[in-house]
Amino acid sequence: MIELQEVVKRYGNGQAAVIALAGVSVTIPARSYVAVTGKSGSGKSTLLAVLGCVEAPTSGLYRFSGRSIGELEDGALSRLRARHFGFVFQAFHLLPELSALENVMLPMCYGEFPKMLWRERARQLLKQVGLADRAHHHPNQLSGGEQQRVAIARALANDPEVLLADEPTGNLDSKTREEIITLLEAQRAQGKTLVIVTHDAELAARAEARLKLSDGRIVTSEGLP
Amino acid sequence: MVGLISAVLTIRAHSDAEWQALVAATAGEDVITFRTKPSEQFFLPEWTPEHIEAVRALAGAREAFWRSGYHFAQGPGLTYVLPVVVASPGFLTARNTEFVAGRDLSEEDSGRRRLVLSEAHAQTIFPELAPHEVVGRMVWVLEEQFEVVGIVAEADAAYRATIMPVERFGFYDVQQVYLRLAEAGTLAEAVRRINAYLAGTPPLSGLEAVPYREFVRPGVVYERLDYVREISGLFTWLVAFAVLLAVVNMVNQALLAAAEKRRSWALHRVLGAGRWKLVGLELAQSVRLEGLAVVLGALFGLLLGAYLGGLVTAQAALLGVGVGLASLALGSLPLVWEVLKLYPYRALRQSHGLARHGILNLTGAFGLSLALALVVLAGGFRDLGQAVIGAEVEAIGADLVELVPDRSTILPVARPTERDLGALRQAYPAVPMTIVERHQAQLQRGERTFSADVLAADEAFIAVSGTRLASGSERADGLVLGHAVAAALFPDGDAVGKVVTLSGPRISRREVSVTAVAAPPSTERLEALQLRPDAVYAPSALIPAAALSARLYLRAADLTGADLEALSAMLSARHPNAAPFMARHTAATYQAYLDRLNEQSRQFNLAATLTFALAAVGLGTLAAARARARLYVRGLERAFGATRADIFRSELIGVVKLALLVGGLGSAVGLAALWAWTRAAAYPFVIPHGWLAAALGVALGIGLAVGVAVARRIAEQPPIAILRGEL
Repeated sequence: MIELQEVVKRYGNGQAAVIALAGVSVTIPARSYVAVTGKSGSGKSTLLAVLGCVEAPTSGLYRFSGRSIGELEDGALSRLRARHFGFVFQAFHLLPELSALENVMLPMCYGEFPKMLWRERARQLLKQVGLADRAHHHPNQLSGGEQQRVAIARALANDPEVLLADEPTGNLDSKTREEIITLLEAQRAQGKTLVIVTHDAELAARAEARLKLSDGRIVTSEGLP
Repeated sequence: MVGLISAVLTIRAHSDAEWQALVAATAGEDVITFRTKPSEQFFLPEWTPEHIEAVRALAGAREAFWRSGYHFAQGPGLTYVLPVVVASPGFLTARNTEFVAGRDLSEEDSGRRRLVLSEAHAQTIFPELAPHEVVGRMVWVLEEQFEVVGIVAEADAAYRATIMPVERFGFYDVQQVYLRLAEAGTLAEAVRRINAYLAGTPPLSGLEAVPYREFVRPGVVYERLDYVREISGLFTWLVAFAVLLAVVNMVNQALLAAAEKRRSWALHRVLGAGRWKLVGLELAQSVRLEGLAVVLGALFGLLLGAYLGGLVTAQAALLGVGVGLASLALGSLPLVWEVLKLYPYRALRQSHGLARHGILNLTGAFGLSLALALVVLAGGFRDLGQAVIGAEVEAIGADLVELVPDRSTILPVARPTERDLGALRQAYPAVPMTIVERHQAQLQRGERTFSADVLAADEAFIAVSGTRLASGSERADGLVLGHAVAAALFPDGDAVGKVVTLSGPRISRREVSVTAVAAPPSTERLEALQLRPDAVYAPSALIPAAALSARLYLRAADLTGADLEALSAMLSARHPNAAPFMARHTAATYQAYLDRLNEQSRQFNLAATLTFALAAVGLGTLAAARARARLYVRGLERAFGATRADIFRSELIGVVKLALLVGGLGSAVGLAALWAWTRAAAYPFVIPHGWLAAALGVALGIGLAVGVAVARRIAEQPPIAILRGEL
């Protein structure tokens, strides 16, 4: 379970400071399917970064599975991130110099799987997303939809409990979009928590719970305790 | 880079050793001494050992020497009075005193009963002995026996050595102090600093510091050694600057690499890499590669330095490796800093563009400017030094040779005679040669008198000395006056054809006509033989009396080294029981300076090449960062219809313009600095055309090379990949 209490995230100091989250409180039960919506600059992506332990809150309380995150130092936080969270981005962020298989193996450097299993596990994940025959292609040899599938396989590399997707369909056509949503929802069906940041009202409507942000605050919350 | 730095340091170590040898060989050129200010009628300085140490430190002098006043001591015998001067060990050598026999007083002689006698006293006390026979004899002074260890070509004193000045009646008896400079100091600057100190020190306020040569001969042109020194100083600065530039380049490269890697780092961070784990991975990678490069570079540099004639020392090797490791450490800092301060999620969401770094932009541009400025400045100084010292060598006469007795032997010194001259002339009839005897004489015309050096020689003197005549002509029955002598005796008219009265200790009073007046000499260097303004040339026939010394000069333009050895051997053979003669170029000191400058030029060229190379790296880094920052715009331009050639041309022109701008700025700054420096030091100003052209040419070359590389890279990037942020 994820629990935020009055979480504030500020970038910079003094007059140049930007408050991205201005006191967010929310509880996300395990195995939830949550859509986060809001205008650009409302704090959606920052919320995702904080939820995924990529960035620490400036103030407030964050508890993950009952553990307070604010008390963890960078190394412990990184280990937590590597083992419990998977990320999918709008711009895919695959490393261009690595093949699809190597991109999927990348998070395993920081996870718990023994090295001898990395390659086989990456092959399995690529097969799971329908790209078994593209394992040795580099990102520039793949279509947008294929790149996003590789990114999803990479997000699943360490078998995380929480999948965080930042506008995962923003760069895709409608057919590919549907395939990606189906893939993500399949992970939800396998018991993972799915949090998706999106502008897409239709995608948001498919989620079990919805959060709407404005100016760094939650303005509406549906389907969450 | 480390290789080039090590090579330069290696050569520099060799250069330092050579410098010490040169300074030792040109005693007196780097010496400062003190005299009573012209405005002070009577001033008794009260030196203390602390004062001596203070001026030594102010001048950055290697050594300080001093002497006391005369201590009149009875002996030997009951009636003879021998004035004894107490001096620091090495004092006579520092003052460039000529030894007729024996040696100078050393630290071992300090406080012991050992003396250096003047030649005059040696002759008086031991009339039957030659000077070299006096060395080792005992002399009674105040009922104590002193051993004579050396004989100097002076008239009036004996010397003994002590480490500390003698204290009497509450003050130290120090009459004269000499400082021998270290290489790093400049004579003019040291004199200025010491004079400021003297002005604020009452016991010494009536004194002023002067270069020794000026002290010996007031009004002499300033020391040329400063040119060599200042070049040397600039060279050191150039190397230091090159090292600084190298370090800055490393930092800039690291910043650029960090900017390139930001998204990759951000991704690793999001995927679970801790900050320090990422830092560790990056450092391990760079330290392995660059550490190996540093060690190999230092090794290569030492080998290159040794090949170029440098002195391979542990210090140079360690310094080279140290500079490399320091660059490595400093270059790693921005990398560590960038990783630590990274906001991963934000970095990932930036689809294009790079953060610009002030230090990168500033040092990339001004690094090249300053490098070129320093090269123009130092190169200009080198040209100036070469021109001035070259002119000095020319004025003294690069081929003016004196046949001198070898004083390193204990044999007596022979005096060349007219017969010797005749024999040499018979063997080498085409070689101009003459024997010059110097007399002190009084010239009188009516009420006007002038005390002058009279140079007595045969008719070859004018040709051998290079003296130019302003009026009249040289004849065997008359004098040639220096122009100051002529001006003093004949203030209102031409001296030629007039009669003056000549008299002196060894010249019987006589009336002699003036046949010519010499033009001002092209140099007043003591080594030059040209008739100085306050001297007079008299044909030998007019002055039959022999002077104490006679010196044989010749012009060796058409002679080989073997010819000179043959001439020396011929003269030596005519004096079998005396010290052998050897040929010595009178301009040898200045030639040594010139050689030193030329030697420095080679080192300077290497340092300049290193600086240019480092500046090119700096500019390349800047151009790459600039191009990278404009990548998105270039993608848009391509999308709107610009061709690869358009992008290539535009990028190339941008980089070349930048290089020429900073190159022009650097050249202008260097030229301005050279002008200001020469003006402040009262040196002539010479525009270094060659170096200016080289600086601008190098800037253009760097701009073209870097521009083509960067422009090609940018022009070949696929526009869609740029716009999609895939690069």
